[in-house]
Amino acid sequence: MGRELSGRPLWALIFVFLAAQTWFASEFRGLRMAIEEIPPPPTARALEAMALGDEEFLFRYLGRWIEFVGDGGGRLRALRFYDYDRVVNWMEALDRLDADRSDLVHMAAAHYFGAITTAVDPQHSKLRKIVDYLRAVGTRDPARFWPWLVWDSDKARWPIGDSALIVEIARDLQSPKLKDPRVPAWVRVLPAHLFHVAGDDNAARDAQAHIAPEDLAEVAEMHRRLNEGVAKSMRK
Amino acid sequence: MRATFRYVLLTAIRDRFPIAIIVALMAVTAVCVLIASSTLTEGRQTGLAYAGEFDRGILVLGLVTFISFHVRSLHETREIEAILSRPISRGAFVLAYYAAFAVLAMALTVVTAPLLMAGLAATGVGLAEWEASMVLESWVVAALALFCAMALSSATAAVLVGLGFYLLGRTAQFFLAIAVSGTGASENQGMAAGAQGVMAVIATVMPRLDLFSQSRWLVYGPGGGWGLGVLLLQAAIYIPLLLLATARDLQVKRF
Repeated sequence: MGRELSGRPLWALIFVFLAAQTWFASEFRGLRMAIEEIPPPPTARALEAMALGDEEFLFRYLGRWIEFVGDGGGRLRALRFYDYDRVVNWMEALDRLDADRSDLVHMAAAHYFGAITTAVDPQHSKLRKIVDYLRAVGTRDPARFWPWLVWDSDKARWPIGDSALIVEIARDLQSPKLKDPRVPAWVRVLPAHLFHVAGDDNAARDAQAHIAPEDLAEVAEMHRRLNEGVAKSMRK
Repeated sequence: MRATFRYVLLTAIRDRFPIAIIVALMAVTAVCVLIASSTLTEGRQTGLAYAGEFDRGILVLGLVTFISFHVRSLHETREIEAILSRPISRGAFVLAYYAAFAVLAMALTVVTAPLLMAGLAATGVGLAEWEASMVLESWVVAALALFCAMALSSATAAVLVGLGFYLLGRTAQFFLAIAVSGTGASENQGMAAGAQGVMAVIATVMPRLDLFSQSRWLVYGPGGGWGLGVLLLQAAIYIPLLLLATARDLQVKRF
């Protein structure tokens, strides 16, 4: 080989390659990976293999991934382009991974995927899938996951506007498991109102008649405190 | 023995190994705090699960790499011959070396607790259990890395084999479960039985590393079917096994 490269020629070459790299970086800055599409969920066995023994980490990792899927660094994939069957399959797989202890995936279902608007989902077919998923979650453990049944009842009234679905959810909310002290009284009072909204007055009267007096008293007290608070803020 | 112990600790400090690991743990905690703050809900729990896994990754990778290259440099600089020329048995040499690595591993593992407490408000028995479990896991990994580094003549090979061994320790039971359930890829009964036999042997000789350092202890607290007793038993069986194998390997080597 010839003489060793050193001194100015070496520095000159370094600067040449640095300049080339600067050019390359600016020239190809626009190149980005495609926004991620939701693949079909792995099987329970594949998830077990991926977890390497630490299922909670995998649950949190994939739960966070599902929250941000479609966010391609400043570019977003609109919810209308998602396959909601796959979304729900993923969420069910993740629930199994965490043994139904966390609300992470349910929050993503309700507040991210469930935020799809009527303008892009006029038949509410995608929203219904989320409602069905959260209904399954809520009925599995009503005392723990009652907020999702309430969320479902709200979506069933509007924008879906399906009386039959409202009645079904009202019946879910009549579960004896909701007599748990962790559940607020207004949740047990809600079915009567839902039956009324759905136009089933007989069921509404029946539900009303079965409300425990202490629940009614607690709701009345809640109303009184609420009205007092409103009156106070009006005076200010 | 004490001189060997001090020598290892001093070389670790000289190589900036502890400070490099501490900086990496701090950086990872900061990243996990960022992940936690950008999560829609249950940010703290998500951050804790991430931090638990990443801390474990850093500690395992750091220990395997450091021990492999450290032992290899001992051979290359012929320091090992100088050490063994002193009145110290090869078994005592392995024990002293391992004790130093174990102290180093424990010291670095203990650093994770204040980081998790400060960055992600980790508290309680769950953190203590995870921390104790991580110490035990780091001891198993240190013994594993020492064995690979002593047995293999290349540091790169030692790192790769050590990490492969670790990965197998975390997956062997899962693959055995597949082989036993008979729902593997092969329809051939003979092949399935063969796979089951092979996996049974591998799963028997591998440490149950999949049981250690569960992130769910950080998130939900202790529980989930097993606790520190099982891990302590596994460590108490596997660490001496690896150290004895290392001592045996050293005894048959010619310097």
